[in-house]
Amino acid sequence: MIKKRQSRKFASSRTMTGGVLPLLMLVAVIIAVLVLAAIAVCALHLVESKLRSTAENYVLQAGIQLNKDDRIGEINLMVERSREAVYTARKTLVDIESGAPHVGSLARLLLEDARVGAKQVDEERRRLSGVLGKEVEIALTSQVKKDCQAGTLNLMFFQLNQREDISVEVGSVRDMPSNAMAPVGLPQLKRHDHQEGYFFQSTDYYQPDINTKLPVPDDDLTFRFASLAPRIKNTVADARLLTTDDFDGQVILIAPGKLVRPTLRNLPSAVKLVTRTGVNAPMQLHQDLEITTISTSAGSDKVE
Amino acid sequence: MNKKIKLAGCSAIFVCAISMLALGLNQPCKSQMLGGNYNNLILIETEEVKNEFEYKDSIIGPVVKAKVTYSRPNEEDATPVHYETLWLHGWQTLGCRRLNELRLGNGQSAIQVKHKSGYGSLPEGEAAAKAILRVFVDMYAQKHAVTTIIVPDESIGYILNQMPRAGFNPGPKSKPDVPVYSLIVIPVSTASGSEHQVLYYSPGSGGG
Repeated sequence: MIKKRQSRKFASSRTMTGGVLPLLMLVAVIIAVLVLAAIAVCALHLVESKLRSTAENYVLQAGIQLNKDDRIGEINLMVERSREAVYTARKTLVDIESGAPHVGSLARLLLEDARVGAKQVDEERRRLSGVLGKEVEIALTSQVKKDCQAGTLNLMFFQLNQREDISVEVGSVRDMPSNAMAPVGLPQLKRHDHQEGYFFQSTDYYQPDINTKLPVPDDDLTFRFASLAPRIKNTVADARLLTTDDFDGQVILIAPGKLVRPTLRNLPSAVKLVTRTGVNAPMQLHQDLEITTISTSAGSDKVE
Repeated sequence: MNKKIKLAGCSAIFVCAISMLALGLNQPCKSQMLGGNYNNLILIETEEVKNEFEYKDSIIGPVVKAKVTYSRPNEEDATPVHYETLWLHGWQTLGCRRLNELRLGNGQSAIQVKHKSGYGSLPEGEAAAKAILRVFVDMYAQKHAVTTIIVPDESIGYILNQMPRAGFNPGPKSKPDVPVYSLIVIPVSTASGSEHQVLYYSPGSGGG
């Protein structure tokens, strides 16, 4: 009698709380969805890291190209030397005019020669700036174009379509001096440069991206250094990746949907690349993945 | 008999060695060998710089480097002082790195040119000519006259051909009874002494 009552009670409670099987199925479905979502997230990360690694490779190559054969370092040193050539020629002319005026015309000729030389070095710097910009532009666009031509890349259940609308910007590393050093045998010029604040912090390296003018009357000439990691003893800085905080962007070379005609005023020593890839997932899901990578050029391997 | 021959041989070698040593001691110093007794020797050594500004369309390459040192060869301490280094693109001065002051002693001064390669190319000859002029004017600014210029045999032509651009016209040595109308007269000779010329300075005749 009692047993019958108990079984009736259990039966009534089961019908009240529902079946276990549907619950188990629900849990299984949720777990499956979660597992799939986890796999999708992992795959997305895999996709992103693959795209990032490709972009990093491209931008590092462009960074290495920037200071190939230490072109930037050479120009920086030559800008400093041309500055000294003009300064010493002016100083000699002043001394000659007071002490040996019969060779004054020769001293004037040598001063004019040094000034012409300084203008040529500056012209070479500006010309090389344009060449470097063009080289970076061509190197990066050709790489990306190659990827686009390769077609769609299938990775697990994602389809990747590399897009050609990249952004490229060149600039320099924030808080990096030039590799050109203060004069050694011209204390007056060094004092002048200190007073004008031409040196980077408390070092003897010149500040980049400013016109380090000579005293009057040669202040009409332009002497502009580029930012470049100097060689410290035997250590030459390699090209390396940078964070966006350390990048000082100066000129946009390529912008998506815009016709850019860049004019580089100075030699760039860092390059920023933004690539865009269309990621298609099942169920008509689509997302554009934007990857930003920045690289510096290699440092200078020369010391004065 | 053998002993006597050996002794005679040894004596001969000894005598030879002593006489060679004596000759060596009497040898004049380098600057004297070059034809004069100079108190100051300013040496310009040119070198073509490889792998710099050699990229396509460079307007300042190839570059020649001219290292300028000075010494007092007749003094015991004849250690050369590195005065400055010049960078030139042929005749065109590009840069200078001054390292020390020009502190010449009293007396006669000679400028000597050498080419590191051993042969003087045209760019090296042009660069040497401009370096000579810069050093010459620096010396004049300190009231030091140049007594003579000694240039390598192989590049005397290249160097002298450039000089008229700065108002220095080369010519033969004038006879003692012929008056010379020139502000500055500098003898130029080759290192071997095989050729002698004179530079006559006429301001305003240079084309730059």
